[in-house]
Amino acid sequence: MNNPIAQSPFAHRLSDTRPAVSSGVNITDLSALPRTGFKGRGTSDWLASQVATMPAAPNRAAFQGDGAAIAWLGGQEYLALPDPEGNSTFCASLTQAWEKDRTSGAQGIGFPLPREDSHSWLWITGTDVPVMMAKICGVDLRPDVFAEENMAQTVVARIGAILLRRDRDGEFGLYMLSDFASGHYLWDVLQDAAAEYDGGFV
Amino acid sequence: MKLMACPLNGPRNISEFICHGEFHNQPVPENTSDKDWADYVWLADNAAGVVREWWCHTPTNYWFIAERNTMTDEILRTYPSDDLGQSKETRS
Amino acid sequence: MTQITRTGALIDSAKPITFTFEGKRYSGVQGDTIASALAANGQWVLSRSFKYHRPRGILTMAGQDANTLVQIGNEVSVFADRHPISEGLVVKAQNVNGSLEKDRDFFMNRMGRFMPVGFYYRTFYKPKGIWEKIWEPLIRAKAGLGTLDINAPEDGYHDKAYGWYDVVVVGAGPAGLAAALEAAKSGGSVLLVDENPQLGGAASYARGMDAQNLIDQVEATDNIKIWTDAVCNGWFADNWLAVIQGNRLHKIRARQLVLATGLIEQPAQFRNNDLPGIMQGSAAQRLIKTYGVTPGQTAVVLAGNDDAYGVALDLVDAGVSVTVCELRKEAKGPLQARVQTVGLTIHDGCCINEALPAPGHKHVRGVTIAELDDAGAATGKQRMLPCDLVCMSVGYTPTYQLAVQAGGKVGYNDETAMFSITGHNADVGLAGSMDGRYALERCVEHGAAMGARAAARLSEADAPEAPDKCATSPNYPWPIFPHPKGKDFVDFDEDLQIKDIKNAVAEGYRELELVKRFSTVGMGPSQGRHAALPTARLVAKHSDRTVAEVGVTTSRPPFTTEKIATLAGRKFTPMRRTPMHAQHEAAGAEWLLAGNWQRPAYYGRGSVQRIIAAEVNNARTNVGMIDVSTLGGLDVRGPDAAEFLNRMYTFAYAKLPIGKTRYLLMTNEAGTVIDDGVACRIAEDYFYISATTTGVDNIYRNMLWWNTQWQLDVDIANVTAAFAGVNLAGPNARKVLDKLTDDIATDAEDFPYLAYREGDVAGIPARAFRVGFIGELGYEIHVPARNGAALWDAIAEAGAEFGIRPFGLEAQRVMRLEKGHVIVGQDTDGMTTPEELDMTWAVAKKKPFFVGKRSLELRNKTLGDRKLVGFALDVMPKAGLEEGNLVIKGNEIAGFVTSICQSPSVGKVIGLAYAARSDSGTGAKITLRASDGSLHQATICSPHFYDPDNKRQEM
Repeated sequence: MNNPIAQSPFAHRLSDTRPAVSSGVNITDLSALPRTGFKGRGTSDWLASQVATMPAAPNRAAFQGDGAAIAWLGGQEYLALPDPEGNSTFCASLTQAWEKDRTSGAQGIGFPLPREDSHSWLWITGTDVPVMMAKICGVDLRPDVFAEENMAQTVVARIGAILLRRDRDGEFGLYMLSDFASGHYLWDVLQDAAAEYDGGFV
Repeated sequence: MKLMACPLNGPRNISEFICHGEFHNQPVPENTSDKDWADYVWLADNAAGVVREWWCHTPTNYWFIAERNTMTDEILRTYPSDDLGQSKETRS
Repeated sequence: MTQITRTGALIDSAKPITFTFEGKRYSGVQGDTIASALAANGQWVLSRSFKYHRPRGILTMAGQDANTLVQIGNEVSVFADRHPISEGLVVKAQNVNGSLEKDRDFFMNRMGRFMPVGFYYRTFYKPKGIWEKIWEPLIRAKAGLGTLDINAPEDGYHDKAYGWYDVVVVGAGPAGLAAALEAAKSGGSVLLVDENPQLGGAASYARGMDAQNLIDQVEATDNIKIWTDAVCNGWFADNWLAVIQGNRLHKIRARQLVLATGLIEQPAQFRNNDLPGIMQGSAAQRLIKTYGVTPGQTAVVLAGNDDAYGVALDLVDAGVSVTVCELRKEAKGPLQARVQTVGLTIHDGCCINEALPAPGHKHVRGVTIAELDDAGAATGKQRMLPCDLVCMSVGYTPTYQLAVQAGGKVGYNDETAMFSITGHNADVGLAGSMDGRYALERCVEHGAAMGARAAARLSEADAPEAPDKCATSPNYPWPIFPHPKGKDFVDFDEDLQIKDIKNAVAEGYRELELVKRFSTVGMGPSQGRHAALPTARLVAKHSDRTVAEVGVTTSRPPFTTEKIATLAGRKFTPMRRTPMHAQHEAAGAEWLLAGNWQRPAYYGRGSVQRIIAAEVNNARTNVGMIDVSTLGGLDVRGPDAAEFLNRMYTFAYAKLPIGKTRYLLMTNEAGTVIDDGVACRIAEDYFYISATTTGVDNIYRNMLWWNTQWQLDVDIANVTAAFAGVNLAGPNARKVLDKLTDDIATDAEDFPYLAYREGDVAGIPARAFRVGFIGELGYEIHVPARNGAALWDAIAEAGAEFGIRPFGLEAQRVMRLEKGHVIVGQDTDGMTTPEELDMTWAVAKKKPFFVGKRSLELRNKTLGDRKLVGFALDVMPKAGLEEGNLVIKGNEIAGFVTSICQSPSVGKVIGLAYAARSDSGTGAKITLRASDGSLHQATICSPHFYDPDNKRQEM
């Protein structure tokens, strides 16, 4: 029952990774971390009652004090991501809070979405990330255009993806959430695109 | 590659969108004659000039309205369908 | 003629490089192109012309003409005047029968009179059949440039990249440099693109032009990115540019674009104007300045403008003896005065009447010149001038291609005899000589103004004034001198002569687009870069119109040749895997694609038919399992969930009890069946529904579209990838499930057919429901995707004692066909109604509305004359019957086979087909037409071939 896919859709490829070196593109698999989403009528108000900071506009994220993110996908749809380097119970707390409210009969508080199972989660960091992404994504991600907390819901190498600017140790960084079932394909695409910069999965 | 300004996602390559055809107020089926219903379902206006169309940004599945000149392929305006100002009670 | 020491801007004489051309070794130097290195070695013939196989050589040294196309390895049609040499490079000539030196097809040169313009259209079609039998094979052997080995491996890694710039400047001549500098002052990002290896444009070779100061400034500006050896090959909507550099296609979005693409020098038309040794003045200058190649010893410069004298002086400086043949009667350019002080002979008011070929037409050996009369035609006595080089400086066209792609229209000014461009996209500016600013200072000033305009438009500021166009142009208005014996080429690519254009007009093809199609002018590799101007002039003259009225033909991308590999780039073929992929692989799955999902077709190797039959038998008699993770899954939640399903699907869901499932059938607004699935009612306000694997994305999008209008209080979430699913089916399925769950009671009473239950299965929270599926007792178990593999392993382990084995999509299809289940998209088409499928049981009559209801009422008034029927044959005919085979009734097509298989469970060939409604009764016979044309009788029967009373699935 100890199945690697339970951790990440990239799990079976992790032996292909290279040790982290200073390079233009480092891709870190965060798929084993918790994540969740909420959607539907009343989600905005309910979430606002749960978290410290809400995003200012659709396609923006708000980072909480502990580094966790609430990303506004548009309308009444949000994504919740913990800080990858923290030990956050952010998502679990939200899920529990929603279930508690729901059990006590609350209506119009949106619905949770199984984002851990629908989406893989990568952190792509390094100075060459914008130019690397320009080979597989039609959205302008140059650092001065695509600022911190900015999001793009777009197509990467012909599959849907959610991109969120999140720098790492002062270096340019992107969260990329994409189709869980396309992990194997995405791995090959990213390794290939990063090779030019001596980058890849770490 | 044309650009299209998505009301939710901003300007994007038009390959991220699909066009769902002309916007029509759906007639109330039971109040519509067979002929008018057939016209509504099977015949397109194909107007030359500025038309209102349904478009969808596929990565987000976000639907909106675009006003496009079919003669020049110029996209004049895009906006959420809520802004159409029509009554939502098409059905009861 | 080998030149020992050469000095040129791009070459390094200290670094020799050896390569071969047509099997012979040549020595060039670092920085040489193939053509410059060959010229330095005295090899001037580079190719043979397309139709007449005439020897051809350097014309432009700018990659603008087909004369220099050669083959390198498996890459055809490489510009020899642009491609650099490298050690050991093997270069071959194209379009040669025999050798480049002795081409067996050169006799075609004398056949010209048998191939008048448009001869293709009248020669090859009579008598009937002759085209296929004789002409096509013959022409195919003769036509085309180069030879391709289609089995050769792909040559290198090609890919694409997007790019975004505030301002893109195409062309790094003086105007482009100035434009880039000015644009950069905005602080925005600027990209400067030039197809040449060096910056400077004409200033890098033309006499008296220096752009070094501008180059230095540009190179020192941080926000200007410089791409040389990069060609902008197309303009597309919203300033979307295709820029090719090396093996990468850049797809660039420019907020503002400045085109400073300069001018293309034009040849003059006289007899044998295509001989090697006859070239543009600019080509001679490029050879001298850029590559240190002296293009001849004795030159005649044909002068129609003052630039000719820069060419003459450059030639003199290179040690060439020069005679000028001046078309103008009174030329007073400043350079001309200098030339006279150098003591050159200038023949004023004269044209070249004919160029004289050396033996085999391999080079020019002289020209005859004649005085021009007042009408501009050759007259009087001719004089012969021996020479081995002719330089033509008679005029230019603007490099208008990108501007035209950007919506520009090409006009013609009779005063200046020059094309002009107007009406292009407002976010595109034209700069420098391509927009009528020829003098260097004016050109630079205009470039700067257009750069400033681009910058101003970024911030919506007012653009500065631009300097006026020059009043005169370097174009001689009529450098066309027809010769009675012809071979006065207008289009070198297609070997078209003056008379061909004249005759095309005489045949009635007055419009330029028609002239083009009739004569093929401008359709060769150089795409009319040199033919457009003389053609427009000739058509105007012979149709008594102005050149402006005639215009030029439309210019479309690509600007110059591009490789298919460039367009293909790196291939992206998304593929999805279920969480159980590794398990399938370990079990020996043979894969097939369902949408973009990889699914096991069957497991193991050997006779496919036998494997599938074994998988079917095990599921029917014992227990089987199949990965159904790819099935679409949607969570429909909210107070209006049931109402939403009622509107989207044909059946009724408002009264579906919690813990129950119901079939879903969806029609579109026209009443056509477009999807099916199962709805599970989890709660009053919560349905979990399935959709077809390939349909779910569209169905989901479609649902959102409808609810954008209905505004029901419901939320729809596509959770397809989030759930893995296993269908556990067969008489022993209950025993297997029993071992895996304590939460879910499995006996028929507690978990009956069509029930939905939740609970842990193998310790994983699961959604489980009983549906028909393959027609056996079965459970569909859905768990979060990350637990899919664990679920699969647990079921396999629990089932081991019963001999469980997985079955693939093929066995599933067989079993579902045995039960008569239709596959939407395979057994239905764009017209199928529920009635044609005998599925009116799934259409709720009393509902006030569902999508498609009104249309079905209408369509049911006059039923179509076809019906989906089940049919059977005792044995498969030898010819084989396949999906898509026709159903024949009398002499008519009555329908077609949609599904067919050899049924292991029924022991017959069974299938579904559209047939005539009148033949749809049980026991009727229909005729199927196999792919080889043979006809076979089949008997109509109930499509519920197996266990028609559904006893087995309801156990």
